[in-house]
Amino acid sequence: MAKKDLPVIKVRKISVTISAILLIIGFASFFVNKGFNKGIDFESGLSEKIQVAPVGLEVTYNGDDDATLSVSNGDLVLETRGTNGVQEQTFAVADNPTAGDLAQAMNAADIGLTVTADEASLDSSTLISGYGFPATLSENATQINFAVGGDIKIDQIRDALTDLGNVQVQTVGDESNQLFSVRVGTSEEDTQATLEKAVSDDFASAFGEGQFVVLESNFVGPRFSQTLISSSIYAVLVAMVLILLYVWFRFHIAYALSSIIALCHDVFLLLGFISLFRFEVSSTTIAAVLTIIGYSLNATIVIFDRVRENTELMKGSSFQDIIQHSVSQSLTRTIMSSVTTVLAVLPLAILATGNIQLFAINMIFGICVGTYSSNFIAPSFLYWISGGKKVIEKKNEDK
Amino acid sequence: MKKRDRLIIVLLVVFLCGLFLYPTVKWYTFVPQETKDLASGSNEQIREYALGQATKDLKEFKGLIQTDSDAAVPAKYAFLEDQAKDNYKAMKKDVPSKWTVLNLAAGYYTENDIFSAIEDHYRTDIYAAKTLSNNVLQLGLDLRGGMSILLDADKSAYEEKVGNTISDTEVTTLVNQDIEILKNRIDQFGVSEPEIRLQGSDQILVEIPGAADPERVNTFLQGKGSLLFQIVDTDLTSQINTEYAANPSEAYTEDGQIKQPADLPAGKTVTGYYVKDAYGIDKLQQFVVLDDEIGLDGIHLESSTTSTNSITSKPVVNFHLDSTGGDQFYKLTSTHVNESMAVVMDGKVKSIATINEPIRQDVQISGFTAAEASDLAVVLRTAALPIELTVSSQTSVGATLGEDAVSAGLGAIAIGFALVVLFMVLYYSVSGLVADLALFFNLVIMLACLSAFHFTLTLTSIAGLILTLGMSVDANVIIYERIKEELAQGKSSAAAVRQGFSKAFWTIMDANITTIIAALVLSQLGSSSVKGFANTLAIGIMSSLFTALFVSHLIFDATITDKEGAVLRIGRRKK
Repeated sequence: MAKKDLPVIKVRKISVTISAILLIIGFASFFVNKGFNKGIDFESGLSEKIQVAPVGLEVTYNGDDDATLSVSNGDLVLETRGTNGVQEQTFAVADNPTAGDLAQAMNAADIGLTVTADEASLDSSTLISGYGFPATLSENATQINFAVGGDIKIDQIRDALTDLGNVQVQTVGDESNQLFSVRVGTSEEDTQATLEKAVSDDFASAFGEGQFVVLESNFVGPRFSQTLISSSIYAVLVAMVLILLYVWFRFHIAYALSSIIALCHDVFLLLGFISLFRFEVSSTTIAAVLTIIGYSLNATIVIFDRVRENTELMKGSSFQDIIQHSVSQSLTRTIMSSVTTVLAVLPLAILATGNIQLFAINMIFGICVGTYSSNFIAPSFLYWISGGKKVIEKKNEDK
Repeated sequence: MKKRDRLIIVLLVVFLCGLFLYPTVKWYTFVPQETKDLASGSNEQIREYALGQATKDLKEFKGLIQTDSDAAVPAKYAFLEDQAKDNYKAMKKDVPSKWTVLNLAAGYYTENDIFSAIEDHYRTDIYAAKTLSNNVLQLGLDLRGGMSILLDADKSAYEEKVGNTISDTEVTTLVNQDIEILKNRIDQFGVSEPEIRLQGSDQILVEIPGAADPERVNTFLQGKGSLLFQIVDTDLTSQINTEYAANPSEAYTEDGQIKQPADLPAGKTVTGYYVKDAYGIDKLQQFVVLDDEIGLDGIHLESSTTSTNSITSKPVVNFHLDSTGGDQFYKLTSTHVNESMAVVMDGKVKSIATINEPIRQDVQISGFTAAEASDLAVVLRTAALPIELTVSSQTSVGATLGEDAVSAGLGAIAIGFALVVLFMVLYYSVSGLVADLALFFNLVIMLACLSAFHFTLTLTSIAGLILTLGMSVDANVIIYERIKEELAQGKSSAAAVRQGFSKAFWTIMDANITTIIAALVLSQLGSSSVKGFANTLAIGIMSSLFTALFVSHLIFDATITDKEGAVLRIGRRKK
């Protein structure tokens, strides 16, 4: 019987060596890359996505209702709220291929709109809505920009923003999109409003008033990022201590210690992986790390539960055989639940974008690491910590 | 436990889930888009709409009477019948056996009554939709765009103001008062269903979904509010009211402000006395002339409550002033006995009271209904933020940027779910179907819990959801693998199922309890997006325990364990 079992304890030195090497690679990449690629959550400051795009239309509204203008599926949508309830009017891009056509259609609608086309030839399909959209229309002109591309170089943006000191500029996508991500560091007295204004003023003087659109604006105060890190570490530590206590209570200290070691192994390997590939660290990364803790622990406990049971059943066998037999008995279950979880997360890793995609990728890596550690690392450490002797004082409660 | 009792529990859970999910289902499937749009408007927009519609309907209704007074009442106006019936009874007249437009109209005392009835009808409809929308499972900001603002309590500024240090629990109390005030203020703005809640001990998280004008949001968050006590000039007040009533067009300037008459003596200002109407909007009752000199600033107010005067048993508002405020108030009240004093909030008179005697710190105002009293107490409490707030972080997701992410994310989640379902059936055949049923039930329970606890559905919590679904199959896998082992030892189907469930029980419990510990710690200590994830995970694990150990168990007991010779189909056998 024991011959068919996976020799997880026999190969323990090999598996621990492999883990050690991987951990060292992770640590090394952490130092080589000078820490993590910290997302906006962790680095205080203002982060904006700005697109340089000429103003095509200027819209004023003189009606009695409350009117807002938004962009939905690429079309311009005017929403009015008044005595007749909510009314929507769509000015489709397909029907109005240029800015001039749009202006004409909106003026012709006779709903209190006065639209002037600054550059009538611009392609309507490039119209963009920024931060602050849907815009509330009034007698003061609301400007609508068109992302027709251009040849402004990233260095020109950097030059424009030099007076702000600690500034990072990156292009988003192809440079001809003229979409830039700007990150400005913050000092104590800065607020979001002052920083936003400073950036916008610099853009206005370099590229012209209104000739750019802020698509996204995120601000993180210095205190927020600190709390996020400290509260996350605190949360992980508290969770680990509670888990340790529970496993100790239900099993034995040797089981508790080896499962915690396996946990730390998973967390550090995952962090090493994130640092190696320069993935952005955000609060969803914390979520992924914590899920892996729960996941890998789950797998480890299922195996340990078997070990405990088999210690009773296989009285004549050595502890090595018992552990190896238990791991093998749980193998189908381990594979099945890894496969189902990966199946659930895989489409997210392929199809989703941004933070969620990163989350899914981290998860898949974590599941692999967690499965490996609960089958190889945790049993090996259980064997070492217990000194190769059977440890079980508490009875399995269903017997 | 008997099978029947277990079935009852399962049905009870199904019933509860239905109850919690009902508002959500109703909102997303039965409420017309038009009503949803209207309900998302500000109170002022809703009033404008209701008044406009009532005007139009009344005109149309009168038209109907003129064309044919014996015409049957169109279904659109059927709601007017109930009140007409009551009015007929009150007038001691016979209720008509068949409603016509004419006798329906005769059921109302005045045309104005019909107008208010129609207006009420529109208003109740929209406010009902508004209430409903508060109870549905909301999509988070990342899914529908919006703005998320984290505010910090400015502890040092507060300490400077009061002159001594305060403890963390005191800060939390003050921050909670701030939250109340912000919630109160929000009614004035057209932002739909904002979330305002305490985060940690001294932070406020404000989430404004959908389209929000950043500038308007800032005015509402940063507005400090003022509360003043000023003396009323009674003679000038009645004089101005008569003047303006005779000449309403003279009362306002072109931009809608109350006009200050040219012959008004220096040091006096005309303002309005406002009460809240059915829409919660301030409505002018009368004009009031105030002395410009500020009798007392509201910052000296320490607390305010309502109670009933023990002698007159009339409702009163009590408030307590700090010692500086008490001195000032004594000076004010002792020099103006028998005059009127106005409570002025943000330039609007909210209440007028007569000074009977000089008062120091403990003030009691009387002379209004219980509702007015509690309104005033709220005004006194909510005028100024007890502790100042600073913006700690602000994030806005444009709806356009969100759209793609949402559709990709949701698509991926659906595919993931389908893959898991398919995989289980392929591997475990009929038993796999039972697991899938449990999985589906699990999904329903999770959604029901999320909407019962008013959690918003963010992309991270959906990720938690799908992950939990993937993991929740695990409980069934553990059980099935055990059953297969038992079968491999040559046991009968019934015995294998019984043994499989009982042996797997503690394995599943131990494995899931440890994960629940992690999830609960996170939901208490994590930051907001992690919290959403952890909450979903915790709920998911608990409901998967229920579905695997209770629901699947019941199905197996009913089909296998209790039937002689029943054959279990659980996929490929172990050798």
